[in-house]
Amino acid sequence: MLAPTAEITTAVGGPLTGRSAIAALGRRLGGEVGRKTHATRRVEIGGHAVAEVSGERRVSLGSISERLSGVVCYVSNSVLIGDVSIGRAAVLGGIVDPDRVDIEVQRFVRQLVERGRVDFAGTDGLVYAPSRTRGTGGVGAGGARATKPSERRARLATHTVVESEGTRILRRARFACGPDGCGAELE
Amino acid sequence: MVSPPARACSRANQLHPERPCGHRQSPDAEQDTAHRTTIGARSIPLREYAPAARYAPGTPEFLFWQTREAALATLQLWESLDEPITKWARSPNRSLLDLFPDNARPDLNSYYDGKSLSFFHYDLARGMYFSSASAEIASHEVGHALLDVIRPDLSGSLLPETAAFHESFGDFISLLTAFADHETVAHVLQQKGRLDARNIVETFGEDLARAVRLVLGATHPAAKPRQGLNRFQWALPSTVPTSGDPSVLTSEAHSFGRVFVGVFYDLIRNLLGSGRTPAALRKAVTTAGRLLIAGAKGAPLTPRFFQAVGRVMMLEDRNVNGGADDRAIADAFRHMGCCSVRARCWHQRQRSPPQSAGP
Repeated sequence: MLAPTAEITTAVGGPLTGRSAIAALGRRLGGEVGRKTHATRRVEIGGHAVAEVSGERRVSLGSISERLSGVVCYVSNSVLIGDVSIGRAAVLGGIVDPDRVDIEVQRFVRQLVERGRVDFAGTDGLVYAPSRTRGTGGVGAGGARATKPSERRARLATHTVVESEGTRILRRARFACGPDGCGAELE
Repeated sequence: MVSPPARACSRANQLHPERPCGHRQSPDAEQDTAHRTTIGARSIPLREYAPAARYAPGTPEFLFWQTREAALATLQLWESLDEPITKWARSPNRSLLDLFPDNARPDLNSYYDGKSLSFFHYDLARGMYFSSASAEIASHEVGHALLDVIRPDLSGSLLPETAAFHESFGDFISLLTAFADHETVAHVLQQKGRLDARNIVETFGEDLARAVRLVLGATHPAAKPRQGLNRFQWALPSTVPTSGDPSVLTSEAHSFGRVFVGVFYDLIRNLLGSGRTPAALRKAVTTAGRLLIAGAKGAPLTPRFFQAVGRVMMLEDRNVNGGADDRAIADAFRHMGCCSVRARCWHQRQRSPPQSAGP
C-alpha cells in the first residue's frame, strides 16, 4: 500500500512538487479543475505521514432514471502520495481508473432508485408510496400511536436531490437501518 | 444483547442522578410522542426526561433511558479506544447530537442523519416494536456518527463498499460495546464454544429481524439477524444479486457489510486464540477495535475500501505492535476470499526507482 509505484513528474520528466503535483495528480484521478477538486488529507499510516489526494468530478445521473434528469453527483477518486526523497513525491499504491469508479457509482445510484431510497423532490427526506398498511389499531405499551390504515406509507430516503448554486445534486440524507433498503416496503 | 432494563437503570443512576427533567418535542411531527435528549461531544450534558428508575419496557421513560444509556456506553467504549470525541461531524451545534428515542411515525427503522439519532416504533399486533429498545441498534446508529467524525468524506461517497463499510462499522461498534459489558463477556465465555459458536454478541438485531419476519415474511432480506460468525465471501459489489433472502449476500449496504463484519469478528477470534479469560477477551477486543479505527481513519477513499482498510490495519500493527498480530489480521481477511490484504512495507532506505507518472 505504501510502496511507491510512480513518481509524480512533469511531461518532460522533471519532478513536480507542492500544489502543482497535487493538481497534476488530481487530473490523473479524473478530477475537474475547479470546485472541490484536488482535495488533500494528511494521514498517518503505519507511522508514515502521507497525503491522500482526491480528484472530484461531476457525473450526470440522467441516464439512470428520468427522474434524475439534470441531476448530478460528485464522485471522488483517491490515491496516497508520499515523499521518496527531498522534494520528490510519488504515488503510493495504485490508481483506480476513474471510469471504473464512475461505473460503480452509477450502479449504486441505480439500485438506490430501484429500492426507492431517493427523495427526488428534496423536501422532507421521505419517499411516499401508496398505503398498503394493514389496520392494526390499538395503542402499544408505550402509548405510541399505532399505524392507521389510511396513512400514506412514507419510507425514509437515504439520499436526496438538493439544489446548490443552480445545480441539482444527489446527496446522502441519512443512514437508515430499516428493512426498506433491502428491496421491499412495509405492508 | 445485554439486559436492557437493569443496565439502563443502574448506569443511569451512576451518571446523573440529580439532573432536572427537561424534554423538547421532536421537529419530525406535530403529534410526536418522542422525548429528546442530547449526547454531548465534550461533557455529556443531558436533559433527562424522567428520574433514573426501573421502568417497564416500552414505556417512554424506559425508551428514553435505554437509548441514552446505550449511546453513552458506546461513547465510553469509543473513548477507551481512541481520542475523545470533541465535535460531531455535521450537527448544527457541533457539540451536541439530538437523540429521539421514539419518533411519532410508525416504522421498523432507525437512522443517523448528521443532526440526530432517531428511532421508531411499529405495531406488530402481538405487541409494539421499538427500535430504541435494542441497545445494539442504538450503538449501531452511534457507530455511524462516530465514523462520520473520523471520516466525514465517507458519508458523501456513492461507492457501494464505503456504504457497506459504514453499515458494518455500526455493527462493529455495537459488538465492541457489548464486549465492554462484563456480564455479557462472562456469559459468552461460559457458553459452549465461546466465540466460535452462535452467541448474543455476534448476532445483531434479533428484535428487528423478528419484527421484519412478522411484518414482511421470513424470506425478506432482513428477516434474520446479521451474524459476525458467517462465511460470506467478498465479491465485486456489481456481481452480487441486488436482492435475496437473508442467506444471500446482496449489494444492499447492510447485506454486503456482512462480509466485513465476518472479517472483524474473525479477527477478534484470531486474536483471542485459545484464551478463555475475560482479560484475554478484553485484550483481543481492544486490539481489534484500535486496529479497526486506525484502518478506518487511514484507508484512502477507493472503490476497494474493505481491502484498503485491511492494509492500513496491517501497517498499523507493524508500526504499533511490531507485526505481532500480522497473522491474525491476514487470516481474518482471508475470510473475504480473493481480497488479500498483504501490505507491502516500504521504507525510505529500500528505494527502487519508480516509474514516471506524468500529469
